[in-house]
Amino acid sequence: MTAPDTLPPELAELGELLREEPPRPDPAWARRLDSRAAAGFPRPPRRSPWAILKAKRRALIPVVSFACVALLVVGLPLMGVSSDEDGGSGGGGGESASTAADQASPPTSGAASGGGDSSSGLSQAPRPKMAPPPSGGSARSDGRRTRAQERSAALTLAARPRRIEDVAAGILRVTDAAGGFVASSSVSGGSGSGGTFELRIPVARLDKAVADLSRLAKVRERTQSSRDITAQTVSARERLREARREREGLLRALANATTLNETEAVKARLRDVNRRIATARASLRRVVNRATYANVSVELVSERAGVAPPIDDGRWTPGDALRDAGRVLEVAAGVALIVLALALPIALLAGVAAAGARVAGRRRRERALDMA
Amino acid sequence: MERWARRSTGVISTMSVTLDPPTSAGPAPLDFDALYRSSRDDVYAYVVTLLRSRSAAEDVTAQAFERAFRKARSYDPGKGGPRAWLFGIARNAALDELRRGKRIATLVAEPADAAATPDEAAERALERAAVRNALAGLPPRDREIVALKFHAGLDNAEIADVLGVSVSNAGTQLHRAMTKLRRALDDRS
Repeated sequence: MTAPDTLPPELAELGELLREEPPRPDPAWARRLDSRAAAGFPRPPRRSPWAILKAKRRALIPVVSFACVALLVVGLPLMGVSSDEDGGSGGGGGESASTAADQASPPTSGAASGGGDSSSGLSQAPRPKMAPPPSGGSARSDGRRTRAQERSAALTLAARPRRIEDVAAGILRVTDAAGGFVASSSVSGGSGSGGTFELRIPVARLDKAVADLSRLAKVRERTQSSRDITAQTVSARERLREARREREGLLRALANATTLNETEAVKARLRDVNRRIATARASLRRVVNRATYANVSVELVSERAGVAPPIDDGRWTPGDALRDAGRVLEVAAGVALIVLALALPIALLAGVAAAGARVAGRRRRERALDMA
Repeated sequence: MERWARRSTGVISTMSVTLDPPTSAGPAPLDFDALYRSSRDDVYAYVVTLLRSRSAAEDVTAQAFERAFRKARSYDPGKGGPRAWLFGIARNAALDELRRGKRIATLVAEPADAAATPDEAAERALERAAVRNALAGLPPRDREIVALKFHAGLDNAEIADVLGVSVSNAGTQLHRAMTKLRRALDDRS
């Protein structure tokens, strides 16, 4: 229900008197206002912002100084944080890479220079620092013509979950191509997808096979080691030779045996020697196999499994660029988040202050009306 | 519209620009030219009644139109008519002037020239002068609402918009102010 615009007659009559002759503006003033309105209420010419700045530069000095100090205070820690973080995971390879390399070092230290695998991957992550395959001394250091070495390698490959099966197939393919065989393998799918492979690769093709395997996925870790098994080889060979000589002697003794008892005794010793020869032969075969085929352990992990970042050899590749770009975006998003976290409460406070100022301004105006 | 046409004598033309382009749907745009032409004298009459100073009223009226011109694009028809919006601006400018208190209100109603008119007309003129004098003696709030109603020609809804009160409250305030005016007149006679 709103009050009607009509007033009682005695008050309406007063209103009519007021309506009849309202205050009129001075015609000259009215003309001036009309012309100003026709011109769109032109403003007096303004000084350029640069001129204002020049005029107020003394007042601006503390403001600019404060802004510089604030930038330094806020900017330096941010830069420090980002550079630290970059050092940890970025293109430099840094700590984790060297740690991995340290861990990858075999217990037997060799004096050789960097390993023989110089093949470079096309798309895979930076080449890992290879542990140099220990030579175990020079070939003639102990007076022997050739030395037998047992070589082994271990690889940790990381691939995206949907590529695990492809990479597993690739591992088998490389093994076949190298003339090796798979001693054991297991591949699992699903969320924790991955697999392990125990391969036997001919030593002559080990380096190429490892390089081919490294191309299949990102290399998280790679180690190579070798162990001198010359003594074991020689020992097995000597035992076999000795057993064979003994058998030859026994065969001669058997031929010269004259009595039945003598014959039976020699035959018994021959059976024993034959057993030892078989054992020695098998032992020699095992040792020779160890020297001929290298053990290669391949662990295939899902890329999400956070083991260790790829090892970097210091070269800046497109992959590094991509990671750096991602890192830059990450840092920028972080900075934006921090700014937002600071700006949001400030904006809220400013909004409240503006609303308060508006209410206060309105009250001041109303008070002015009451006090007039 | 009727009110718009009856006010502000002597205004031939100001500007020919309509500030907002007309749209097929939605509220009508603000025609500042028409608003200026119809409201110039009304705004002045309201402001001079409130401030009781001609020079201050001239400055404040000019200031109010300038502010309205600059803020024309922020005019929202959904919040009230253009006259209510304009008088809101004029009111703020006038209250700011009052708050600054530079110019003390000194104006009283102009004396009626009774001698120059016939008897009946002279009597009417004397009545008008008495009413203006009585109005000048009322408190500012009462003067304001009376000026908005009878000098500016706003209806109660527009007055409510300008003052930021409900329509019924505006009607009540107006009735109270007119009663005071009546009493003041009676006391003088």
